[in-house]
Amino acid sequence: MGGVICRELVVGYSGQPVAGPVDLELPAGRVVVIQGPNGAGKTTFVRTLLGLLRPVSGQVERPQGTVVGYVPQHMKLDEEFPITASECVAMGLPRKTPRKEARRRVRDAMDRVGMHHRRRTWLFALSGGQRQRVLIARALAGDSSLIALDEPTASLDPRNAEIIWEILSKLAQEGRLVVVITHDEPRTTACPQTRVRVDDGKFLVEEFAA
Amino acid sequence: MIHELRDSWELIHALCMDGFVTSLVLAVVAPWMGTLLIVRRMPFLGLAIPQLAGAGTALAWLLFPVFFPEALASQEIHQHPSTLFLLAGSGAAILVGLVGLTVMGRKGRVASSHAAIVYLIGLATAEIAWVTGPYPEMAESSARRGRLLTVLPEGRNLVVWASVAALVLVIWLRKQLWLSAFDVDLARLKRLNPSVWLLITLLLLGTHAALTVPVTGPEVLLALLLIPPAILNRAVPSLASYGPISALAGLLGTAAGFHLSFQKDWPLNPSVIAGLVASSLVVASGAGLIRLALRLTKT
Repeated sequence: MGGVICRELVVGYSGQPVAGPVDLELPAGRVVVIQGPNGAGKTTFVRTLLGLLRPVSGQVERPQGTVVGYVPQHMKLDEEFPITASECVAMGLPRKTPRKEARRRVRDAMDRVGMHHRRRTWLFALSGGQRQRVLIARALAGDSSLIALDEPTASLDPRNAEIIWEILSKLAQEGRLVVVITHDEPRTTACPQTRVRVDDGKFLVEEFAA
Repeated sequence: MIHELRDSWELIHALCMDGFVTSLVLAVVAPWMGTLLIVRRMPFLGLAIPQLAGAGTALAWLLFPVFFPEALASQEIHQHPSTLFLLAGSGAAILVGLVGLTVMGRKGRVASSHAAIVYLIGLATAEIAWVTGPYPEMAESSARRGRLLTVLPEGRNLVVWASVAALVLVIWLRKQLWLSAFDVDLARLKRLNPSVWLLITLLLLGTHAALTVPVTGPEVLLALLLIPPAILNRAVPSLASYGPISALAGLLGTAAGFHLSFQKDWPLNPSVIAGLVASSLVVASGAGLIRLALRLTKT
């Protein structure tokens, strides 16, 4: 599955460093919580881990065949887009998935987050928590071994936030690497955690057992 | 009602069957393609693209005597440029405009302000070209209204084949076109470059417009690209049904427009626009009612 190793990694935009350097080993099967003040470089770091941004210097090593899933903040999507929950999940499927297989994977992924009964609902008619679960299902449909989530519990009530954390713990227990940017305190102790605090250009790393 | 419909049909059959067939084909394909603009939140491109093609066509008419002076010298003032020459004009204008818009585009999107500027440049160019060209008597009808009533079989075939090819491509590439419009980051993770897919979207729309506008004029294409998809955006039950339902509204609205035009003796293009608005509202209401009925049945 998809662990990640960072070697002397410096992250930033257009060659301008924002944070680093850091040496970090993030093995599969754990939740990595990224915290820090606004503008510290949390999202830049995660986007670099995923390969959406190039490192300013250093390296990110992912095992070959790592499938990467990214769950954006649901508020950042276009709320005018006429898309159902199941169509959104289907977007996470690998290209050229046969139709029958695609239908099965979408159903399974939506079942896992408890959203199959709302599959035909317009995505933006769902509540924030439900939308977030659909976006997690989208990453699952692609069978991602590395899933990164950008503030998945932002603007959710405590009950919905708890449901999201339960789902994320289960994903880590299955052997996936789950990277979560959050301002909240993680509500799970069911799996090993790494907490990475990004502040003032530096990384502070703490590890916790399950 | 039946008599009125029969009267309209007989008039259409006798006077402008080629224009009617051309319009119906365009009525299916253009709204389907217009959904790509609405999901990308780039409705102004629906104005800019046909207008660019219109400007290119007008320039082709203006430049025709420069390239073929023997036509004017022999006093054959009404000799028309060949279809190929008109297509070259509209294609060149589309290419220049779209390359410019793509270069100015950011994160897979074209800014509305840029598209609006291109629309205005296209409009101004077309008006000046028609008025200063050797055929000022055609300015009003060709620059804005188009020539749906006088489409020839050659033009009809061109529009039909261009539209069928465009529709096949849009359906074939739909997943990539939707994904690059909905979530740029996911598209990148799936190795789809959002800028490239923006360019592909624009080229599809631009090529289709470049081939159809010299035959039909810009106004009808502009109305078909925008009215059904914009009105139906919030009413359709799913992304997969957005294109077909918009096409249905386009088809009904265009047929209604021809009927209105022949029954009330209204000009054709405004009648088609009125038909499109009415049919889109009716289809949107129908889709809403079906959704409500389904919800009530479930509960």
